[in-house]
Amino acid sequence: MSEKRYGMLIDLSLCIGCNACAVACKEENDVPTGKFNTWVESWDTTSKKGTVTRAQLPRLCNHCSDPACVSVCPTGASYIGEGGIVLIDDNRCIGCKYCMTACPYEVRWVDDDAGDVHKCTFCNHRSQNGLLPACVSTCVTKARVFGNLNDPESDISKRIAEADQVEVLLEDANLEPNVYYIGLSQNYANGRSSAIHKGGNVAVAYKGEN
Amino acid sequence: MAWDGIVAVDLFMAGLGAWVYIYAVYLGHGKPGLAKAGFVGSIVAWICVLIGVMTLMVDAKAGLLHPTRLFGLLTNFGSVMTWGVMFISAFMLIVLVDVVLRWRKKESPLGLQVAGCIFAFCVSAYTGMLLSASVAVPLWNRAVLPLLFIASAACTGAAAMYLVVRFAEKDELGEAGALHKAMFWTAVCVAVLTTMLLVVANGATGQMQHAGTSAVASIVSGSFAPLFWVGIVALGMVVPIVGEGTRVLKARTSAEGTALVMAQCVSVLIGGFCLRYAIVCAAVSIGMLW
Repeated sequence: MSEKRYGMLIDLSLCIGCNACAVACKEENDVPTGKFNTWVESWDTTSKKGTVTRAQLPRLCNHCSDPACVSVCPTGASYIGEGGIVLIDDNRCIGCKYCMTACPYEVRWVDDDAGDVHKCTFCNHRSQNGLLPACVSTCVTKARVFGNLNDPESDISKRIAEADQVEVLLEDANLEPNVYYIGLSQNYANGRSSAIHKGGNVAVAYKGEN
Repeated sequence: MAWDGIVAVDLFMAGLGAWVYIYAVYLGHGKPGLAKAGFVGSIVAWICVLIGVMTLMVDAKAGLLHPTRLFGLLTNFGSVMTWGVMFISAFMLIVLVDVVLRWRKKESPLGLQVAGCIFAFCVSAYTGMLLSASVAVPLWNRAVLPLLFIASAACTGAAAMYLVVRFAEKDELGEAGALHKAMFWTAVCVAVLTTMLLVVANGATGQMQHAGTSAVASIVSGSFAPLFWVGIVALGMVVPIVGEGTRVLKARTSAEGTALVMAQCVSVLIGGFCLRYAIVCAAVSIGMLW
Protein backbone atom coordinates (compact mmCIF):
# COMPACT_ATOMS: atom_id res chain seq x y z
CA MET A 1 0.00 0.00 0.00
CA SER A 2 1.26 3.48 -0.81
CA GLU A 3 2.19 6.10 1.78
CA LYS A 4 -0.60 7.36 4.01
CA ARG A 5 -2.35 10.57 2.99
CA TYR A 6 -4.82 11.66 5.60
CA GLY A 7 -7.85 13.64 4.56
CA MET A 8 -11.37 14.54 5.57
CA LEU A 9 -14.69 14.34 3.78
CA ILE A 10 -17.55 16.54 4.95
CA ASP A 11 -21.04 15.72 3.74
CA LEU A 12 -22.83 19.06 3.87
CA SER A 13 -26.21 17.40 3.43
CA LEU A 14 -25.69 15.77 6.84
CA CYS A 15 -24.24 18.77 8.69
CA ILE A 16 -26.82 20.39 10.96
CA GLY A 17 -24.58 23.23 12.14
CA CYS A 18 -24.67 22.14 15.78
CA ASN A 19 -21.05 23.27 16.30
CA ALA A 20 -20.28 20.17 18.37
CA CYS A 21 -17.19 19.73 16.20
CA ALA A 22 -15.95 23.23 17.05
CA VAL A 23 -16.55 22.67 20.76
CA ALA A 24 -14.89 19.24 20.77
CA CYS A 25 -11.88 20.68 18.96
CA LYS A 26 -11.49 23.53 21.42
CA GLU A 27 -11.77 21.09 24.31
CA GLU A 28 -9.31 18.60 22.83
CA ASN A 29 -6.72 21.12 21.66
CA ASP A 30 -7.12 23.76 24.36
CA VAL A 31 -7.89 26.44 21.79
CA PRO A 32 -8.18 29.90 23.42
CA THR A 33 -11.38 31.92 23.53
CA GLY A 34 -12.07 33.65 20.23
CA LYS A 35 -9.78 31.33 18.24
CA PHE A 36 -10.85 28.30 16.24
CA ASN A 37 -9.11 25.37 14.57
CA THR A 38 -12.44 24.45 13.04
CA TRP A 39 -15.78 26.18 12.92
CA VAL A 40 -19.09 26.10 11.05
CA GLU A 41 -20.25 28.95 8.83
CA SER A 42 -24.04 29.10 8.40
CA TRP A 43 -26.27 31.20 6.20
CA ASP A 44 -29.72 31.13 4.63
CA THR A 45 -30.36 30.49 0.98
CA THR A 46 -33.64 31.16 -0.78
CA SER A 47 -34.69 29.20 -3.84
CA LYS A 48 -36.56 30.73 -6.76
CA LYS A 49 -39.76 29.22 -5.30
CA GLY A 50 -39.11 31.06 -2.05
CA THR A 51 -38.05 28.06 -0.01
CA VAL A 52 -35.55 29.05 2.63
CA THR A 53 -32.89 26.53 3.58
CA ARG A 54 -29.92 26.71 5.88
CA ALA A 55 -26.47 26.17 4.35
CA GLN A 56 -23.67 24.89 6.57
CA LEU A 57 -19.99 25.02 5.78
CA PRO A 58 -17.55 23.52 8.29
CA ARG A 59 -14.09 25.03 7.85
CA LEU A 60 -10.65 23.81 8.92
CA CYS A 61 -7.10 23.52 7.65
CA ASN A 62 -7.24 21.74 4.30
CA HIS A 63 -3.87 19.99 4.86
CA CYS A 64 -2.91 20.68 1.27
CA SER A 65 -0.46 18.40 -0.52
CA ASP A 66 1.16 21.53 -1.97
CA PRO A 67 0.65 23.93 0.94
CA ALA A 68 1.39 27.61 0.41
CA CYS A 69 1.98 28.05 4.15
CA VAL A 70 4.86 25.57 4.11
CA SER A 71 6.55 27.03 1.05
CA VAL A 72 6.52 30.61 2.41
CA CYS A 73 7.46 29.81 6.03
CA PRO A 74 10.96 31.30 6.44
CA THR A 75 11.95 29.19 9.44
CA GLY A 76 10.56 25.85 8.36
CA ALA A 77 8.19 25.91 11.34
CA SER A 78 5.33 24.91 9.03
CA TYR A 79 6.00 21.49 7.60
CA ILE A 80 4.32 18.41 6.22
CA GLY A 81 4.31 15.67 8.82
CA GLU A 82 3.53 11.98 8.70
CA GLY A 83 0.50 11.12 6.63
CA GLY A 84 0.66 14.45 4.82
CA ILE A 85 -0.67 16.37 7.81
CA VAL A 86 0.46 20.00 7.78
CA LEU A 87 1.88 20.91 11.17
CA ILE A 88 3.57 23.81 12.93
CA ASP A 89 6.64 23.36 15.12
CA ASP A 90 5.94 25.65 18.08
CA ASN A 91 9.64 25.90 18.86
CA ARG A 92 10.52 27.30 15.44
CA CYS A 93 7.65 29.69 14.74
CA ILE A 94 8.63 33.39 15.02
CA GLY A 95 5.08 34.66 14.48
CA CYS A 96 5.83 36.56 11.26
CA LYS A 97 2.35 35.57 10.00
CA TYR A 98 3.60 35.05 6.43
CA CYS A 99 1.84 31.67 6.44
CA MET A 100 -1.42 33.38 7.35
CA THR A 101 -1.21 35.72 4.37
CA ALA A 102 -0.36 32.81 2.06
CA CYS A 103 -3.11 30.44 3.18
CA PRO A 104 -6.30 31.08 1.19
CA TYR A 105 -8.37 29.09 3.68
CA GLU A 106 -7.71 31.58 6.50
CA VAL A 107 -7.56 28.83 9.08
CA ARG A 108 -4.52 29.91 11.09
CA TRP A 109 -4.55 32.04 14.18
CA VAL A 110 -2.02 33.78 16.40
CA ASP A 111 -1.68 33.07 20.10
CA ASP A 112 -2.04 36.55 21.59
CA ASP A 113 0.29 35.77 24.49
CA ALA A 114 3.04 33.70 22.88
CA GLY A 115 2.81 35.25 19.42
CA ASP A 116 3.16 31.95 17.58
CA VAL A 117 0.74 30.60 14.98
CA HIS A 118 -1.59 27.61 15.42
CA LYS A 119 -4.17 25.69 13.41
CA CYS A 120 -5.92 22.33 12.99
CA THR A 121 -3.57 19.34 13.12
CA PHE A 122 -6.17 16.70 12.32
CA CYS A 123 -5.65 16.02 16.06
CA ASN A 124 -2.22 14.64 15.19
CA HIS A 125 -1.72 13.28 18.73
CA ARG A 126 -4.85 11.18 18.23
CA SER A 127 -4.76 10.32 14.53
CA GLN A 128 -1.17 9.03 14.64
CA ASN A 129 -2.34 6.62 17.35
CA GLY A 130 -5.28 5.22 15.46
CA LEU A 131 -7.90 7.54 16.92
CA LEU A 132 -10.17 9.88 15.02
CA PRO A 133 -9.81 13.66 15.26
CA ALA A 134 -12.07 15.05 18.00
CA CYS A 135 -14.34 16.84 15.53
CA VAL A 136 -14.95 13.59 13.64
CA SER A 137 -15.54 11.37 16.63
CA THR A 138 -18.02 13.85 18.11
CA CYS A 139 -20.00 14.59 14.93
CA VAL A 140 -23.57 13.54 15.73
CA THR A 141 -24.62 12.99 12.10
CA LYS A 142 -21.36 11.46 10.90
CA ALA A 143 -21.04 14.32 8.43
CA ARG A 144 -17.28 14.29 8.92
CA VAL A 145 -15.27 11.27 7.77
CA PHE A 146 -11.53 11.00 8.36
CA GLY A 147 -9.04 8.53 7.03
CA ASN A 148 -6.30 7.52 4.63
CA LEU A 149 -7.12 8.72 1.13
CA ASN A 150 -4.52 6.35 -0.34
CA ASP A 151 -6.25 3.30 1.14
CA PRO A 152 -9.18 2.28 -1.09
CA GLU A 153 -10.65 0.28 1.80
CA SER A 154 -10.78 3.23 4.21
CA ASP A 155 -14.15 4.74 5.11
CA ILE A 156 -13.28 8.03 3.51
CA SER A 157 -12.18 6.45 0.23
CA LYS A 158 -15.37 4.41 0.08
CA ARG A 159 -17.57 7.43 0.80
CA ILE A 160 -15.78 9.44 -1.89
CA ALA A 161 -16.13 6.59 -4.37
CA GLU A 162 -19.85 6.28 -3.63
CA ALA A 163 -20.58 10.01 -3.87
CA ASP A 164 -21.95 11.53 -7.07
CA GLN A 165 -19.66 14.50 -6.72
CA VAL A 166 -16.98 15.59 -4.29
CA GLU A 167 -15.48 19.07 -4.40
CA VAL A 168 -12.80 21.08 -2.65
CA LEU A 169 -12.79 24.69 -1.53
CA LEU A 170 -10.90 27.20 -3.66
CA GLU A 171 -9.81 24.76 -6.32
CA ASP A 172 -8.34 27.63 -8.36
CA ALA A 173 -5.61 28.10 -5.76
CA ASN A 174 -4.08 24.78 -6.98
CA LEU A 175 -2.88 23.74 -3.54
CA GLU A 176 -4.24 20.19 -3.71
CA PRO A 177 -6.35 20.36 -0.55
CA ASN A 178 -7.19 17.12 1.28
CA VAL A 179 -10.51 18.24 2.74
CA TYR A 180 -13.37 17.26 0.46
CA TYR A 181 -17.00 18.29 0.51
CA ILE A 182 -20.21 16.69 -0.71
CA GLY A 183 -22.84 19.27 -1.66
CA LEU A 184 -20.57 22.28 -1.88
CA SER A 185 -22.01 23.61 -5.15
CA GLN A 186 -25.55 23.25 -3.80
CA ASN A 187 -24.56 25.50 -0.89
CA TYR A 188 -23.86 28.32 -3.30
CA ALA A 189 -26.46 27.58 -5.98
CA ASN A 190 -29.13 29.96 -4.67
CA GLY A 191 -26.90 32.68 -3.32
CA ARG A 192 -27.16 34.04 0.18
CA SER A 193 -30.17 35.64 1.85
CA SER A 194 -28.82 36.23 5.35
CA ALA A 195 -25.69 37.13 7.24
CA ILE A 196 -23.00 34.47 7.61
CA HIS A 197 -22.92 33.18 11.16
CA LYS A 198 -19.91 31.67 12.84
CA GLY A 199 -20.61 29.99 16.14
CA GLY A 200 -23.89 31.86 16.45
CA ASN A 201 -22.34 35.29 15.86
CA VAL A 202 -22.55 37.34 12.69
CA ALA A 203 -19.26 36.95 10.83
CA VAL A 204 -20.28 38.64 7.56
CA ALA A 205 -23.23 41.03 7.50
CA TYR A 206 -25.98 40.69 4.93
CA LYS A 207 -26.34 43.72 2.69
CA GLY A 208 -29.25 42.56 0.60
CA GLU A 209 -27.33 41.08 -2.30
CA ASN A 210 -26.07 37.59 -2.94
CA MET B 1 -5.62 40.19 6.65
CA ALA B 2 -2.97 38.98 9.06
CA TRP B 3 -0.64 41.81 8.12
CA ASP B 4 -1.39 45.43 8.87
CA GLY B 5 0.18 48.87 8.95
CA ILE B 6 3.27 47.67 10.82
CA VAL B 7 4.29 45.59 7.83
CA ALA B 8 3.63 48.62 5.60
CA VAL B 9 6.14 50.57 7.73
CA ASP B 10 8.71 47.81 7.26
CA LEU B 11 8.22 47.64 3.50
CA PHE B 12 8.32 51.42 3.17
CA MET B 13 11.42 51.97 5.28
CA ALA B 14 13.36 49.10 3.71
CA GLY B 15 12.67 50.30 0.15
CA LEU B 16 13.31 53.92 1.07
CA GLY B 17 16.62 53.20 2.80
CA ALA B 18 17.78 50.95 -0.03
CA TRP B 19 17.36 53.65 -2.65
CA VAL B 20 18.76 56.43 -0.47
CA TYR B 21 21.97 54.41 -0.43
CA ILE B 22 21.96 53.98 -4.22
CA TYR B 23 21.56 57.74 -4.71
CA ALA B 24 24.10 58.46 -1.97
CA VAL B 25 26.72 56.33 -3.71
CA TYR B 26 25.89 57.84 -7.10
CA LEU B 27 26.07 61.43 -5.88
CA GLY B 28 29.07 60.78 -3.66
CA HIS B 29 31.08 59.54 -6.64
CA GLY B 30 29.54 61.50 -9.52
CA LYS B 31 29.48 64.90 -7.86
CA PRO B 32 32.68 65.81 -6.00
CA GLY B 33 30.87 68.56 -4.09
CA LEU B 34 28.38 66.09 -2.66
CA ALA B 35 30.81 63.72 -0.92
CA LYS B 36 29.56 64.74 2.50
CA ALA B 37 25.92 64.33 1.46
CA GLY B 38 26.80 60.91 0.09
CA PHE B 39 28.29 59.93 3.42
CA VAL B 40 25.34 61.26 5.44
CA GLY B 41 22.93 59.61 2.97
CA SER B 42 24.60 56.24 3.54
CA ILE B 43 24.12 56.57 7.28
CA VAL B 44 20.48 57.63 6.81
CA ALA B 45 19.96 54.65 4.46
CA TRP B 46 21.34 52.21 7.00
CA ILE B 47 19.17 53.63 9.78
CA CYS B 48 16.04 53.52 7.59
CA VAL B 49 16.53 49.84 6.76
CA LEU B 50 17.32 49.12 10.41
CA ILE B 51 14.02 50.77 11.44
CA GLY B 52 12.26 48.55 8.89
CA VAL B 53 13.91 45.42 10.29
CA MET B 54 13.11 46.42 13.88
CA THR B 55 9.42 46.99 13.11
CA LEU B 56 9.21 43.53 11.56
CA MET B 57 10.93 41.97 14.56
CA VAL B 58 8.53 43.67 16.94
CA ASP B 59 5.61 42.43 14.84
CA ALA B 60 6.96 38.86 14.91
CA LYS B 61 6.25 38.49 18.61
CA ALA B 62 7.23 34.84 19.00
CA GLY B 63 10.65 35.62 17.52
CA LEU B 64 10.99 38.64 19.76
CA LEU B 65 10.21 36.54 22.84
CA HIS B 66 12.52 33.74 21.66
CA PRO B 67 15.37 35.43 19.75
CA THR B 68 17.21 32.17 19.06
CA ARG B 69 14.35 31.17 16.76
CA LEU B 70 15.40 34.01 14.44
CA PHE B 71 18.40 31.91 13.36
CA GLY B 72 15.85 29.68 11.71
CA LEU B 73 15.16 32.45 9.23
CA LEU B 74 17.98 31.05 7.11
CA THR B 75 16.62 27.51 6.80
CA ASN B 76 13.97 27.61 4.06
CA PHE B 77 15.63 29.05 0.98
CA GLY B 78 12.40 28.63 -0.97
CA SER B 79 10.77 31.35 1.13
CA VAL B 80 10.85 34.90 -0.21
CA MET B 81 11.17 36.12 3.37
CA THR B 82 14.40 34.16 3.70
CA TRP B 83 15.69 35.84 0.53
CA GLY B 84 14.82 39.16 2.14
CA VAL B 85 16.69 38.29 5.30
CA MET B 86 19.77 37.48 3.20
CA PHE B 87 19.49 40.64 1.09
CA ILE B 88 18.93 42.88 4.10
CA SER B 89 21.70 41.25 6.13
CA ALA B 90 24.19 41.65 3.26
CA PHE B 91 23.07 45.24 2.71
CA MET B 92 23.33 46.16 6.37
CA LEU B 93 26.79 44.61 6.69
CA ILE B 94 28.20 46.17 3.52
CA VAL B 95 26.85 49.65 4.26
CA LEU B 96 28.11 49.44 7.84
CA VAL B 97 31.63 48.61 6.62
CA ASP B 98 31.39 51.33 3.97
CA VAL B 99 30.30 53.96 6.50
CA VAL B 100 32.90 52.94 9.10
CA LEU B 101 35.68 53.13 6.52
CA ARG B 102 34.64 56.59 5.44
CA TRP B 103 34.12 57.66 9.05
CA ARG B 104 37.76 56.79 9.68
CA LYS B 105 38.78 58.80 6.59
CA LYS B 106 39.81 55.64 4.78
CA GLU B 107 38.94 54.96 1.19
CA SER B 108 35.94 52.72 0.75
CA PRO B 109 36.41 50.38 -2.23
CA LEU B 110 34.13 51.16 -5.13
CA GLY B 111 33.42 47.45 -5.47
CA LEU B 112 32.07 47.39 -1.92
CA GLN B 113 29.71 50.26 -2.66
CA VAL B 114 28.59 48.71 -5.94
CA ALA B 115 27.86 45.49 -4.06
CA GLY B 116 25.90 47.55 -1.54
CA CYS B 117 23.88 49.08 -4.38
CA ILE B 118 23.13 45.68 -5.86
CA PHE B 119 21.87 44.39 -2.53
CA ALA B 120 19.97 47.66 -2.04
CA PHE B 121 18.15 47.04 -5.30
CA CYS B 122 17.44 43.46 -4.22
CA VAL B 123 16.00 44.74 -0.92
CA SER B 124 13.63 47.09 -2.73
CA ALA B 125 12.57 44.31 -5.10
CA TYR B 126 12.11 41.92 -2.18
CA THR B 127 9.55 44.18 -0.50
CA GLY B 128 7.23 43.63 -3.46
CA MET B 129 8.12 40.00 -4.03
CA LEU B 130 7.27 39.24 -0.40
CA LEU B 131 3.66 40.16 -1.06
CA SER B 132 3.45 38.88 -4.62
CA ALA B 133 4.32 35.34 -3.46
CA SER B 134 0.97 35.10 -1.69
CA VAL B 135 -1.40 33.10 -3.90
CA ALA B 136 -4.29 33.89 -1.57
CA VAL B 137 -4.38 37.61 -2.36
CA PRO B 138 -5.19 38.71 -5.93
CA LEU B 139 -4.10 42.28 -5.21
CA TRP B 140 -0.62 41.06 -4.24
CA ASN B 141 -0.14 38.00 -6.41
CA ARG B 142 0.83 40.08 -9.45
CA ALA B 143 4.13 40.34 -11.32
CA VAL B 144 3.68 44.11 -11.52
CA LEU B 145 3.76 44.57 -7.74
CA PRO B 146 7.54 44.19 -7.26
CA LEU B 147 8.08 46.63 -10.13
CA LEU B 148 5.71 49.10 -8.49
CA PHE B 149 7.48 48.83 -5.14
CA ILE B 150 10.89 49.29 -6.82
CA ALA B 151 9.63 52.41 -8.61
CA SER B 152 8.05 53.77 -5.45
CA ALA B 153 11.20 53.06 -3.42
CA ALA B 154 13.27 54.84 -6.09
CA CYS B 155 10.90 57.82 -5.94
CA THR B 156 10.80 58.11 -2.15
CA GLY B 157 14.55 57.43 -2.00
CA ALA B 158 15.18 60.39 -4.32
CA ALA B 159 12.96 62.60 -2.18
CA ALA B 160 14.70 61.56 1.03
CA MET B 161 18.13 62.00 -0.55
CA TYR B 162 17.19 65.50 -1.66
CA LEU B 163 16.36 66.35 1.94
CA VAL B 164 19.71 64.88 3.02
CA VAL B 165 21.54 67.09 0.50
CA ARG B 166 19.49 70.09 1.62
CA PHE B 167 20.52 69.64 5.24
CA ALA B 168 24.06 68.30 4.70
CA GLU B 169 25.27 70.49 1.85
CA LYS B 170 22.77 73.23 1.19
CA ASP B 171 25.09 75.17 -1.09
CA GLU B 172 25.48 72.20 -3.42
CA LEU B 173 21.78 71.68 -4.13
CA GLY B 174 22.38 72.67 -7.74
CA GLU B 175 24.44 69.51 -8.12
CA ALA B 176 21.47 67.33 -7.20
CA GLY B 177 19.74 67.64 -10.56
CA ALA B 178 19.73 63.86 -10.94
CA LEU B 179 17.39 63.60 -7.96
CA HIS B 180 14.87 65.89 -9.64
CA LYS B 181 14.90 63.78 -12.80
CA ALA B 182 14.68 60.59 -10.74
CA MET B 183 11.70 61.89 -8.77
CA PHE B 184 9.87 62.88 -11.93
CA TRP B 185 10.40 59.71 -13.91
CA THR B 186 9.91 57.31 -11.02
CA ALA B 187 6.68 59.13 -10.09
CA VAL B 188 5.51 58.60 -13.67
CA CYS B 189 6.42 54.92 -13.34
CA VAL B 190 4.55 54.69 -10.02
CA ALA B 191 1.45 56.19 -11.66
CA VAL B 192 1.59 53.77 -14.59
CA LEU B 193 2.37 50.69 -12.47
CA THR B 194 -0.29 51.53 -9.86
CA THR B 195 -2.86 51.77 -12.63
CA MET B 196 -1.67 48.46 -14.06
CA LEU B 197 -1.86 46.77 -10.66
CA LEU B 198 -5.40 47.94 -10.03
CA VAL B 199 -6.52 46.96 -13.52
CA VAL B 200 -5.08 43.44 -13.38
CA ALA B 201 -6.32 42.87 -9.81
CA ASN B 202 -9.76 44.08 -10.78
CA GLY B 203 -9.69 41.71 -13.75
CA ALA B 204 -9.06 38.64 -11.61
CA THR B 205 -11.20 35.75 -12.75
CA GLY B 206 -12.77 32.62 -11.30
CA GLN B 207 -12.47 32.20 -7.53
CA MET B 208 -10.00 35.11 -7.43
CA GLN B 209 -12.53 37.57 -8.83
CA HIS B 210 -14.40 38.50 -5.66
CA ALA B 211 -11.27 39.21 -3.64
CA GLY B 212 -9.64 41.11 -6.49
CA THR B 213 -12.57 43.38 -7.25
CA SER B 214 -13.36 43.92 -3.55
CA ALA B 215 -9.80 45.07 -2.82
CA VAL B 216 -9.69 47.42 -5.80
CA ALA B 217 -13.13 48.82 -4.96
CA SER B 218 -12.11 49.52 -1.36
CA ILE B 219 -9.02 51.37 -2.61
CA VAL B 220 -10.62 53.39 -5.40
CA SER B 221 -14.06 54.08 -3.99
CA GLY B 222 -14.30 52.46 -0.56
CA SER B 223 -12.80 53.00 2.85
CA PHE B 224 -9.30 53.50 1.45
CA ALA B 225 -10.41 56.02 -1.20
CA PRO B 226 -9.33 59.16 0.73
CA LEU B 227 -5.92 57.58 1.30
CA PHE B 228 -5.70 56.62 -2.36
CA TRP B 229 -6.83 59.86 -4.00
CA VAL B 230 -5.21 62.29 -1.56
CA GLY B 231 -2.21 60.33 -0.32
CA ILE B 232 -1.18 58.14 -3.23
CA VAL B 233 -2.44 60.02 -6.29
CA ALA B 234 -2.25 63.69 -5.24
CA LEU B 235 0.72 63.67 -2.87
CA GLY B 236 2.64 60.74 -4.29
CA MET B 237 2.08 61.20 -8.02
CA VAL B 238 0.60 64.55 -9.05
CA VAL B 239 2.80 66.70 -6.80
CA PRO B 240 6.15 65.30 -7.99
CA ILE B 241 5.09 65.00 -11.63
CA VAL B 242 3.68 68.52 -11.82
CA GLY B 243 6.36 69.92 -9.53
CA GLU B 244 9.28 68.49 -11.45
CA GLY B 245 7.56 69.01 -14.79
CA THR B 246 7.25 72.68 -13.96
CA ARG B 247 10.89 72.88 -12.95
CA VAL B 248 11.93 71.40 -16.25
CA LEU B 249 10.05 74.10 -18.11
CA LYS B 250 11.37 76.93 -15.99
CA ALA B 251 14.97 77.94 -15.56
CA ARG B 252 16.32 75.94 -12.66
CA THR B 253 17.78 78.05 -9.89
CA SER B 254 18.69 76.24 -6.73
CA ALA B 255 17.90 79.12 -4.42
CA GLU B 256 14.36 79.81 -5.46
CA GLY B 257 11.77 77.25 -4.71
CA THR B 258 13.95 75.16 -2.40
CA ALA B 259 11.28 75.21 0.26
CA LEU B 260 8.75 74.19 -2.35
CA VAL B 261 10.90 71.27 -3.44
CA MET B 262 11.34 70.22 0.17
CA ALA B 263 7.59 70.26 0.62
CA GLN B 264 7.35 68.21 -2.55
CA CYS B 265 9.81 65.69 -1.12
CA VAL B 266 7.78 65.36 2.07
CA SER B 267 4.71 64.92 -0.12
CA VAL B 268 6.43 62.11 -2.05
CA LEU B 269 7.41 60.39 1.19
CA ILE B 270 3.83 60.54 2.49
CA GLY B 271 2.54 59.26 -0.84
CA GLY B 272 5.01 56.38 -0.83
CA PHE B 273 3.96 55.29 2.62
CA CYS B 274 0.26 55.59 1.74
CA LEU B 275 0.87 53.33 -1.25
CA ARG B 276 2.39 50.59 0.92
CA TYR B 277 -0.28 51.04 3.59
CA ALA B 278 -3.18 50.80 1.15
CA ILE B 279 -1.78 47.79 -0.68
CA VAL B 280 -1.06 45.91 2.54
CA CYS B 281 -4.23 46.83 4.43
CA ALA B 282 -6.80 46.85 1.61
CA ALA B 283 -5.86 43.36 0.47
CA VAL B 284 -8.63 40.76 0.49
CA SER B 285 -7.95 37.02 0.66
CA ILE B 286 -9.80 34.63 -1.59
CA GLY B 287 -10.71 32.84 1.64
CA MET B 288 -13.48 35.42 2.03
CA LEU B 289 -15.88 33.25 0.08
CA TRP B 290 -18.66 35.81 -0.15
